[in-house]
Amino acid sequence: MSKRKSHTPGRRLSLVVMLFFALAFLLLGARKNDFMGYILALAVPAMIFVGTWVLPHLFPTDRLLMSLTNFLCALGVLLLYDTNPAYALQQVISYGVGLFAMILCIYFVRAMHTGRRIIWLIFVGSLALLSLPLLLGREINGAKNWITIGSFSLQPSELVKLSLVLSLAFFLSQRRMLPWVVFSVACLGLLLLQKDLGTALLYYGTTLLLFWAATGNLPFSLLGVAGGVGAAWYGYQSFAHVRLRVSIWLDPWADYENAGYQLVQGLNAIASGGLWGVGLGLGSPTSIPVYESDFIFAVLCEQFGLVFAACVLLIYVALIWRGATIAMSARRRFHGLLAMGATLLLGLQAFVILGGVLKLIPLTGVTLPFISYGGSSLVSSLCLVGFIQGVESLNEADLEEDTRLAMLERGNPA
Amino acid sequence: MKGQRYRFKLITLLLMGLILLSLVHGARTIPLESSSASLRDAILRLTGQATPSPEPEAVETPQLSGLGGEATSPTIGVEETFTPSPEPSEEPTATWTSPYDYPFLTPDASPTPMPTESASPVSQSLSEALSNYFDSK
Repeated sequence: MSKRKSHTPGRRLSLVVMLFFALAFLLLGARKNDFMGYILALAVPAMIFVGTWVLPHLFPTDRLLMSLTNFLCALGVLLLYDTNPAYALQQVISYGVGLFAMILCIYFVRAMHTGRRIIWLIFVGSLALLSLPLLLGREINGAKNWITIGSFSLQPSELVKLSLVLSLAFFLSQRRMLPWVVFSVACLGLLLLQKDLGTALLYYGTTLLLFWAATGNLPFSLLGVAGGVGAAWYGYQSFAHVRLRVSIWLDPWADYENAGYQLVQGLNAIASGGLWGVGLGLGSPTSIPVYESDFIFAVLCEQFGLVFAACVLLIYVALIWRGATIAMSARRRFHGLLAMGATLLLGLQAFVILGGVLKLIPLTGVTLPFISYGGSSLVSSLCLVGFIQGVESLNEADLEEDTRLAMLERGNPA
Repeated sequence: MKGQRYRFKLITLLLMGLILLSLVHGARTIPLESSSASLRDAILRLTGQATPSPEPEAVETPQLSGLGGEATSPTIGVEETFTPSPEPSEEPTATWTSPYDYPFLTPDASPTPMPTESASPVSQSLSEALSNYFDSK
């Protein structure tokens, strides 16, 4: 009874979310006179329905987390449909693939009790995958972190995020330091060779914080922080593009026609939206370079305003809170670290790009989880939620087992 | 395990705090940025209207008022203190190049044009881009 009661808010929330997106896509479809808008008005709420109503019938999951995740994914599709319908179509396909991958991840976490053999397979496979762009990748803006197979492109570092969290959780729960250090250093080295600094920063932050959470070893953790600061200082002194990035952050107006143009456009768009936004489908979001991925939050602010954007940020806060609560409720050390690692990665990624767009920290090129355009990013983010949900389903199973044992004891007091 | 829970709580608070800090920073600085003289100067230059003309009327207020929105930047607009930029008002050219060494592109958008390519909105003349930006409001 209490279980059903606790699920009701999530169900109501998802109903409101489905209605919101159906109306929004209908509005945009009518405005653009585009049939695709009407299809999305059906497809996106249907996917939210699958994510928040059908999935929890397969295994116990956290409905609030599911509703919030689906809201963010659908919001991304909506913003992309407004700015570039072709991107929206690809994103909605990735959303479907991501939901399927999330189910697989939930099953994977439920099935993986010891996982000694598979973790070594993941270990070797991930390093091989991460080194592929150096051999076969194409260079875009100095970074070489994409591989293309036929018409299909993939960013391996997005997928390796999953194995990073899995491997760290496994080795740290077993208190085996050597494989953990080797894996982390190898991943960071490969990312730096690819010059994928944003992802390297995420990997580093997640590794360090998860190490501290697992061991509580403050001196080594502080040593890691000092190492990171030292590396950042060395990078600033040695590489011109790092200095440029910092100077843009400090004063984008100084070179707004060139280097600072992107950030200035983003800030203009955010300021243009004001508190309540210019309205869905209005404004000029496409004037921001890379509006579809890195600067999608500026598009959101322009169209919906700062108040709505603040609510979206609070959704990320709620996601972190739910993820951490699930991690803290886990009975096994591995599952707790896995859920916390996934939460950490999502939270840090959100902060790195939001802080960059809002000029709080220097801008680095990562996507905003669930909202930004990008198949690899969306699928990997949904897989991370799948890990958290997998741990939640195990927590629920443990609770049910406890209840059953308590009932048995009560029935047989002797 | 108890210590781990405590550290999990601290990390959660850290993450939540960082995101809320972004929110506070955004709410605090963006209206200031949008109303700053440097932004107005930037926009005037970008729109090609920074001719050394002493008449502030040359700039239409409605164009600028969109920048900050009513709520965020009531001070935006042409003010008496406006001084045209000392630099000659050259027609801005498509010179924006990305300072970032990451791929802008997402896997599914493999052949997406780079910001410097002709299909990009940035590669238009900057004045044209900004005009479109304001005209659409």
